[in-house]
Amino acid sequence: MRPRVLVLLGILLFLASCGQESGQLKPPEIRYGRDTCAQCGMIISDPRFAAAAATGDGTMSIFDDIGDLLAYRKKNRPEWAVIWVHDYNTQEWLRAEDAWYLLSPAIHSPMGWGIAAFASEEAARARQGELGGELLRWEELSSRELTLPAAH
Amino acid sequence: MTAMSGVARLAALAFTAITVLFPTDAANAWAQTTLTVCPGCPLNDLHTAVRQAPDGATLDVRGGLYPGPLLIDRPLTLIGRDWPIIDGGGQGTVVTISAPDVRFEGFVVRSSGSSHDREDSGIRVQAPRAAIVRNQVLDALFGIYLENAPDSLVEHNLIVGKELPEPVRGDGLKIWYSPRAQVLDNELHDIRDALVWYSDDTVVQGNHISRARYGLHFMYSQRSLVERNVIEDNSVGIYLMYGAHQTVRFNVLQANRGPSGYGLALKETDGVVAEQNLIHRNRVGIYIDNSPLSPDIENRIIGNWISYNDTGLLLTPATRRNRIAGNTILENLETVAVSGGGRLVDLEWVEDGRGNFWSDYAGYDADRDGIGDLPYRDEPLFESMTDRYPILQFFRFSLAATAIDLAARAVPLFRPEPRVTDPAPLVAPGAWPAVPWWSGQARWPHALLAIGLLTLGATGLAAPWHKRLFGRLGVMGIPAPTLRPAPTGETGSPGANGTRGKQSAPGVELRREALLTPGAVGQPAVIEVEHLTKYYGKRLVLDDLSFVVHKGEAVALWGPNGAGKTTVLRCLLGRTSYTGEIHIDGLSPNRDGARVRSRIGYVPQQLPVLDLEVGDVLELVAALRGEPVERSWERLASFDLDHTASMPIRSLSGGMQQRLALVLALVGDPPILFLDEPTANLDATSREELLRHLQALRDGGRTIVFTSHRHEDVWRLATRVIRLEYGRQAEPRVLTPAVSAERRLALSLKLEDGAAVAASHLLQAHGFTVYRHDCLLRVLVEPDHKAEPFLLLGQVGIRVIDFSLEEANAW
Repeated sequence: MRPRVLVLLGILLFLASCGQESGQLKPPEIRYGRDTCAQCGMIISDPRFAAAAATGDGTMSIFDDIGDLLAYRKKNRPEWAVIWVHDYNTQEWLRAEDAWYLLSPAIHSPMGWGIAAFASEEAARARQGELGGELLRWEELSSRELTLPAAH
Repeated sequence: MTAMSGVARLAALAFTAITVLFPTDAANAWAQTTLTVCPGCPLNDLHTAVRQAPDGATLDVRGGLYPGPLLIDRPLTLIGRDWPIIDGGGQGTVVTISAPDVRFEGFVVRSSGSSHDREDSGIRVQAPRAAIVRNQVLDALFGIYLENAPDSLVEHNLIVGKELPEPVRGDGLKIWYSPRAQVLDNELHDIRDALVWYSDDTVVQGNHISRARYGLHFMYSQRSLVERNVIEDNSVGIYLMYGAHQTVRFNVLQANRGPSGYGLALKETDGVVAEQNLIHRNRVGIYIDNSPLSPDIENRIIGNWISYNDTGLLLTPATRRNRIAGNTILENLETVAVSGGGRLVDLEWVEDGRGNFWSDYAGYDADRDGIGDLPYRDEPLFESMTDRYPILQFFRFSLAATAIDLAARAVPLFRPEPRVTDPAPLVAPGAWPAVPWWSGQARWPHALLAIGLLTLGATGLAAPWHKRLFGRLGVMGIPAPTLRPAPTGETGSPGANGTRGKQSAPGVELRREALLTPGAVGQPAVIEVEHLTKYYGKRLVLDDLSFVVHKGEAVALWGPNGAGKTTVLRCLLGRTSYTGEIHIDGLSPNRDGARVRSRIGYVPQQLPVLDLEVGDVLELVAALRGEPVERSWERLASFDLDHTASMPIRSLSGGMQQRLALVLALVGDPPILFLDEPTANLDATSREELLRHLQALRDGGRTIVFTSHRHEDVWRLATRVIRLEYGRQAEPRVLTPAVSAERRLALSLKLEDGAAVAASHLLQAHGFTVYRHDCLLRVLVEPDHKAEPFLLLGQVGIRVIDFSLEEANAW
């Protein structure tokens, strides 16, 4: 075992010494049905709304709802180097700043924030036509004072 | 179709005419009209019948297949007879109700679409006051969906989700902006969640929810009442989030063991009352995160049984203002843990001068007021370290953990601040909570009838009545009890008295002989125990115990809970102090601990569940034990676990975890194996597999000492039994009817599903020795008290399905 451990440690040290620019960080592979959200602690099941963020040293946080990512950031002020969101249609990772966001009460996201991300403006507008709501870019969304939906 | 349309048109025309001519009474009379719909009837199309029926009409729908989707857009009553089927054909929502005051009853609704975007459902209600009653909703992505449907009733439905992996299933029940819903007596299986969101004053009673992700998940809802539900075998039982004033009582929350595995979880929830729930065998019994959120509000956790969970209570340091009192906190692997480490403050562990019952309490009650004279303190140093570094849980049963806790006890410098101080601990468990088994209907007569029959049978008066009475029982659906003849003649062979029919296979009889043989003749002694005595505080738990285990023996430490079995193992492992002498291969566990333990492989009742992968753990243990890793891999393969190498331990089934525990114990080929209740948490198949492996090890000559209260395990595995009672060694004995003073009877009870655990706890609490196997209990009773278990079970509504009475045999 020892040689293997040493090799593993060597690799880890090498990786650590290389530093991790945000461009080198890769989005996580979420184990749906097993991994839990860093903000609410619930099991992440719906890839349409999953989000993730990483600090420069590669520390990863994952979320079941884009709104939970924003709530976590507001509460904990982490120094994230990169933030990813899932495309609602394809469930592929997007850089948060590249996505278009639809904010609509008709979107039933896991924690009720009602935010969906899209890779293109066309896709977002198409869904807006079906569900209504407001179209935003990342800067607007992340600077907005979001509140959880009121019960009644 | 043409004929049907004609009839419907005629009906509509008649209704219009009557309404114009007789605007009130006649119209009401018409409204009460019932239209019959069936495949062979003139009115055979359900859609048209619904579309053209007048408001308030009843559709009497007979058995047959009706294609979906179906839209009910006016106030109607639809009553299905002989289970008419509405089939969605795998597209969209099957039944949509958009009008108020619809009653929909007695249908099979099946095969919705699979779109999460559209939330394809079996039955989707979008109007107030719907009654969805006695339906079977099958193969639906979302089962029953109340969407802006206040004051609706969901009662007596069966809801089974689509055959999809859990994360991509829909919610079996979704209550969305629908206040005052009543969810009563439904069965929900194989779904994602049952959700109550943005819906106040929901009543959830008498439901059974299993194989879901979240059994019940409340968000942004207030004043719900959740009672008498059985929520089991889900990832999480009940999760209350961001709500207020929820009451959760009389529920069974058991075996919820998914990734987080909470029985009951509270997150940022105010004013929860959780009382008299049975919270059993979850990963975490109760999880509380930052609840209550608001100041000046208290959560009340009162009178629950929190038993046999990996962690009894898991609290975040931010948690304040919870009153946790009157609970029975029983045999959890870890009693209280702090999530992420830190201190617990501002929690109340007492109400009206009474704290909680803690099964690891080591104090005493000299004044016999039911309250311990010393405070209960939960202060294990090792566990406080695992709060901060969960990976250390792997070493929970190790020498290192023992050493740390010993150091903490011996040297106050190391003693951690107690996580819990209960100033008034109870010395006896609380009352059994009023869980659903208590609330059954018409069970008293059954129990009383059973008592009467037993009495008749036992007094020999039953013979003339037996056939008639049991014939009647059969008509009532109650199996006839079987009373077997008392043994006569020779002592104790199971074959002789006929009481061991199920265990009388060839080979087992031979083993029976060995059971009564005191030691393997001619083999050297491996373990010698002399005058072993152990106190916890002032409580004597082992009383002058002496025995010898010879090489190649498989010795069962056998006895009821609390007899001292596990304490013996802890002494043998050197994990606790004792008086008396123990020698293992001539070495003392206290003085030569490391050398002794190098000879022993230990299988705990449950392996610590970690996210570490099986292969990593195996290699780690191999390195610690100095075994070539290739040999350890071979062991893994020989237990059919090689395919799990890259799987996290947490993801293995209970049976696989226990086999892995055995593999890890065997690394380094220790000649002695200790096993603590090795099959306690396993289902029948897994137990059988593990017992086969253990039998092979025994037959290979390994010396085995194991604890068990399972009769079957002892029977299958032991070559000798050391019977413990109240910390003392009871002599093996073979009873005959002649030994009347010592005579005890074994009462075998077959109970309804899911009641065995509750029943065994109840009977043990009343002093009976009870052995449990699935839904069967074996209770040792005195001849003149044999009806008492029936009375006790009857009092709490547990139904005895069948019973037999036998002479108790040896041990």
